[in-house]
Amino acid sequence: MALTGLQIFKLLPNTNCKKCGYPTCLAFAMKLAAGKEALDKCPDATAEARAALGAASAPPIARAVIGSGPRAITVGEETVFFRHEKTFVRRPGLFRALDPRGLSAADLGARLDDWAQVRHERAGEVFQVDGVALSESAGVDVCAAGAAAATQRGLPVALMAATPEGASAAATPIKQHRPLLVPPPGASMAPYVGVAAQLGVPLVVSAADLDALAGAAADAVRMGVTDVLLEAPGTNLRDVHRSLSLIRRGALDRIHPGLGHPVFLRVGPGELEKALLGITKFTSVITISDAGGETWLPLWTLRQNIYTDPQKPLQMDPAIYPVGEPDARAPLLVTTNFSLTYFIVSTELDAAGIPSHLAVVDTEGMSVLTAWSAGKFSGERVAKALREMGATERVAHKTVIIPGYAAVISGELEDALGDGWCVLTGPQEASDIAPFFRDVWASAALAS
Amino acid sequence: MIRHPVTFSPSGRTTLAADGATILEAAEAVGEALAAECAGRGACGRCLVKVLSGQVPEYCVESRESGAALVLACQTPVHSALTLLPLVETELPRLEANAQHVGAAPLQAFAPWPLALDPIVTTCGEDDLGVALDIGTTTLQLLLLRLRDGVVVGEAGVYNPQIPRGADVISRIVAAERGLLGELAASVRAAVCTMIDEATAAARTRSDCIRAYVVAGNLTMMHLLYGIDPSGIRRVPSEPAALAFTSVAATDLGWPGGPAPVHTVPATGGWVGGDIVAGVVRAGFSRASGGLGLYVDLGTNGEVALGGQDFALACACSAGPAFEGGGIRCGMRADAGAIDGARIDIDRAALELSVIGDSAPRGVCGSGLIALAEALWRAGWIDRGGRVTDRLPAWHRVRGTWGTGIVLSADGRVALWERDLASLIRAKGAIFAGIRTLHAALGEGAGPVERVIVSGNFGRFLKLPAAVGIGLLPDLPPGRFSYVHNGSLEGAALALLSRAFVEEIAAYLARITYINLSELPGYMDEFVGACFLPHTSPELLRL
Amino acid sequence: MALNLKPKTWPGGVREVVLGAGSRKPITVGGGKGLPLHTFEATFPWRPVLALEVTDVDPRSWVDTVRAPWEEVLGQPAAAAQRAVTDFGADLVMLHLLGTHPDRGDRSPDQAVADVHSVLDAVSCPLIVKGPGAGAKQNEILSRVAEAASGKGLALHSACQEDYKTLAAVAVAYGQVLVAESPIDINIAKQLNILLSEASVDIGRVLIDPLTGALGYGLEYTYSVMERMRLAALAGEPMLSCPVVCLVGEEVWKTKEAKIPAAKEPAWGPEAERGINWEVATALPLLLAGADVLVLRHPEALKRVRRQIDAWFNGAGG
Repeated sequence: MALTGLQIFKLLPNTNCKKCGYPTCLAFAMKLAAGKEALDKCPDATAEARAALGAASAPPIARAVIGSGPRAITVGEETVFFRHEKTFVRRPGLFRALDPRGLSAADLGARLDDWAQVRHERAGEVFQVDGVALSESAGVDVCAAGAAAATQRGLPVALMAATPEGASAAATPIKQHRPLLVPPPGASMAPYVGVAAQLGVPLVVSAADLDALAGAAADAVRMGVTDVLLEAPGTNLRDVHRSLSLIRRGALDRIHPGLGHPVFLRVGPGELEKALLGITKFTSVITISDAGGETWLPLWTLRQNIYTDPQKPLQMDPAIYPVGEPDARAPLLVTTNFSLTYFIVSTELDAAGIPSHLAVVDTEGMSVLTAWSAGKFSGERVAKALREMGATERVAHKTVIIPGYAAVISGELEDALGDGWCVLTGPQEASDIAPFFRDVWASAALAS
Repeated sequence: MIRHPVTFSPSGRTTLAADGATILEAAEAVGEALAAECAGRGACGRCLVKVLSGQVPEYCVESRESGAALVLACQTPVHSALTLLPLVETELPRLEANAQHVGAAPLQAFAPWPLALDPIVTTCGEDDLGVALDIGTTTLQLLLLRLRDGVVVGEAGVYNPQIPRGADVISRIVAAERGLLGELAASVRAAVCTMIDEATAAARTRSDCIRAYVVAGNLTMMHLLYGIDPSGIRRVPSEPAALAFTSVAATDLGWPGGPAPVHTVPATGGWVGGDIVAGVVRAGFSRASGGLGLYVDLGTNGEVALGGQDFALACACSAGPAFEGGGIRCGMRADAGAIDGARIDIDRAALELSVIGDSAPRGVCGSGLIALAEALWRAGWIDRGGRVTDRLPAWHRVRGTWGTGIVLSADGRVALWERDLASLIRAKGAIFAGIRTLHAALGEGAGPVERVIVSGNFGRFLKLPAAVGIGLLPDLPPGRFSYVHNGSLEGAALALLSRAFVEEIAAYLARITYINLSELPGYMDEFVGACFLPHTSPELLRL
Repeated sequence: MALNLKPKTWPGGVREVVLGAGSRKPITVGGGKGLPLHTFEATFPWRPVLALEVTDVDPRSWVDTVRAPWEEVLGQPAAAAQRAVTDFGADLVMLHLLGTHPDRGDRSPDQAVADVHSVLDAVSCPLIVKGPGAGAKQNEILSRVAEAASGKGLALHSACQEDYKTLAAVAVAYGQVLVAESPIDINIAKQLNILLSEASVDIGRVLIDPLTGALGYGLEYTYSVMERMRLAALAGEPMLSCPVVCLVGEEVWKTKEAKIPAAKEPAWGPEAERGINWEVATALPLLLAGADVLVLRHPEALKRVRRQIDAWFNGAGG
């Protein structure tokens, strides 16, 4: 919404009737301005208000949906060039490129099963293989069979076509699963546009330069392709970066409707840097050729970082996380579930060589001081969380270490835990963790 | 469970503390008065004690004095037998009578539009009195009014006796949660009685002539006054037990006047209370057309309101007590002996002070703190972060348990510490960030701010150039500013004297929108930017 | 139909800062007049440079992956510096005086000075000298080092808002460059530069270290602060126009992902490749956010990042 809170307020009835759920019209107007509310909550909004607010909102970048069912991915509808202006909204899909040559159907099935089950959890988010990219160069039948097997497992599919006929042959049997059609580099777009329009599937459009690309995308839309992605032109990182930047800027500045589509990138073996560039800069679907965790872990993590809403930092799921290999005598520490706090504390404990149990309490992502002020890190709440997480069974001793900034809850926490539990106040700064354990833990452990 | 004997000197109070309990907890258990203004967060430094015997963990040691460790009681766990000497006095300073309003007739003196005398309670007695009260987080203020002609006959003020239990509202809520609600209610009610006694004595009248009370204060203060559990206020989202309070009889609070009703100005949100509502209506917001009005309450909660007759946005900036001399090592209220102004003659490297009552300085009040910060920075004696530079003349420099400080008085007893300046900068940063955030929330086209009304307990005056100079108030033409000595109190007085004013408050309440600053994405950024003299980006001072 | 893609121009830009003087072969950093790496629409007179970290004592916390290439020269700063430049192609070297920390050896100022001299004798590239962390010891160490290496254009790491006066004086007195460190906060970065300027430091001899969060450990905070800083510099804000230095190696090699052996987490892939990838995956986004100097630890990571920078500036490779 380009309108400000005050401008919207002047379009509202100013009766403060509260039917929208807000105490005043101005409060509602400010939520509208922030994009956090919809005008239809106001039953008395005038036609003039509706018109003014409607005009400001068509997104500059279209949407595309690939796949079907629970693992379908939606990309596009981004609104900013810099994440700090607001946030990036739709995480890019990372597709595993599969070369089905020489694989028996059984082997192929087994491999697809593995990939469908890949799961890595980090800071409350689950990372998966978002889709599979199959190449027609292995043979049309092989490609089609692989695509079908993938969709059977619920995986979205990208068809790396070599010919329009091959593309059609592989896509037609699975068209309801919305496979992404990717023409070969340098191909003429028209036949692929025809296939995609006829089957109703998403299509990647590519061209030698941005002018031609915009034209080709506009043509594809005109010919009936509903979901178009743009392949960023460029052979080296510099040119790809230029394309990515100008496409995003061009879309946001509404220079040409053909630029207003999500972006596609194909990344070959050993090209981690290109994938990193794509994730950092505006790409929505990336096909990755390398297989191992050493490639995928950094890509998933970078995606998580760049696509985190700056206003809503990540939260850890409440749990007791081990640092190193702690046994029942290892120290027990408790902290908030603001993910950065967790990572910093666990890293310091690890660096100091202290195997420990780090209990993370749900504070809705707030850091220690904020959580304490809001009553989310009180002795009572922490004790309850520790009991629910089974902390008392996890350790053989009865000492828990709290963050220095929460020192004030120590007595209250001890009372709430009861049963002879003892609370030790740890340092305020994570960097003092090592000296704390050296100076205090050793003697305290002896005393208890 | 291991326990250790903990003894406080010189009082001799001793207790057995559990191993790992903090020294502060031991003190509270045995009734040794240690201030915990930040509710034990280790932030205020008021619980500093000297370890006369016993061991404390090395990482708790703030500094040493002839080998003896100085530690913060709230941060230091007991791991051995200890003998401790508290270093900070906790007795609140006494106040002298501060007769500003006595003799004035509020309806003539500061009614924002013509109001007829129509007191909130029908009276017939010659001597009938009404009491207007502002219950602030740091200070309480009272006006005694004669109802037949609407003249102020008495005035009194005290520091809020709840302060040792918490300097800010959060700490006080925490104290209430810890079982001190009864004590907090009793202490503030007793303080009001003390003020009534003082005011009636000076006015040579009797407290049994009191026929009505109007009370204004922030929501936390109202909950504590009425003994209502305030814990919901600090929850996210804020859930106070009430925003409005039905009137009670004076005798229910232990106040003179028997059945005389005690009315409370209603609040509009968890952190913006009846004090601000009373203040903005007193400042004329409900009848202001044309450009935006900005109301700034330079008290502990630092409430800011922006708007006019159609709407007002209000927020609380959590400034802290610095503007009232609270939390400042040599801070005091604006009374005799308070430094309330400063000037530096660069050529002679001379610091010239203005002191209320022109006596030897005993401390620094809010306006003095602002004036000193401005003068010291302009002279280059402190940097923009409030830290001492090497241009500070050697005879002004002192180092102590509080860090580095600037000696102000000839006898060396009054000093301004870097910590104090940091508190002031944080306080003014919070206020200015709140102002900018509200203005930005309205968006472009909101129009300029045409009027700025500043309310505070500044004694004789607030030096506007100094306040703008340090970036506390926006850099606007001086003609747009006006100062109100405690808008909340004056609003309460008008409510007492005019039923029309009471109705105006009730009608305007619906038009005030409370904004929770912590929910607005830009606020923290604005706050850090404003914690600099006068600002990290001075062009932003012009709004 | 030709798109109207006008290049974006800006009134300001990143300042140029020269590292190294006297016996050093100087290197200039900064000078960019557009968004980071937007070589297609703005001029960038100097490309980002890459430093490798060497330590005064054997850094026992370094894991095997990153110790391996430094075999036999760990804890020998002169030899390590030589290897860094000659074998690994570093543009400059950061000497990390971690042994001077009271808990890690408490080496004396004299020993620190000797180490600095030995490195200055071994290589002719500019030097960054990192102290043991803010505090009295760091002030003492870096003051003595600055004095002993007067006129060599060392970059002293680092001054911070709470403690900047000593290093400000020393940087001015001995003609060194100062690194201004702030805790991932654009306002504090600006404030510190204002304070330094008012303490007579030439802002043209300051680098900003915004504090780096490794990938997965706060990277996005650093990334966005750097993007905002670049926008401020391009808008002409003089106090945010300093080139930016990121200490990538130190942060990356602390992480679990860079360290944990594949035997413990088989799905995570072999630890050597993983660690190096983690360093590259931290460095590249920071380049895209505007880093002018990257301090790395693993020479393989340097090689790969170098290839990317070459792609931008030579138009080749990548």
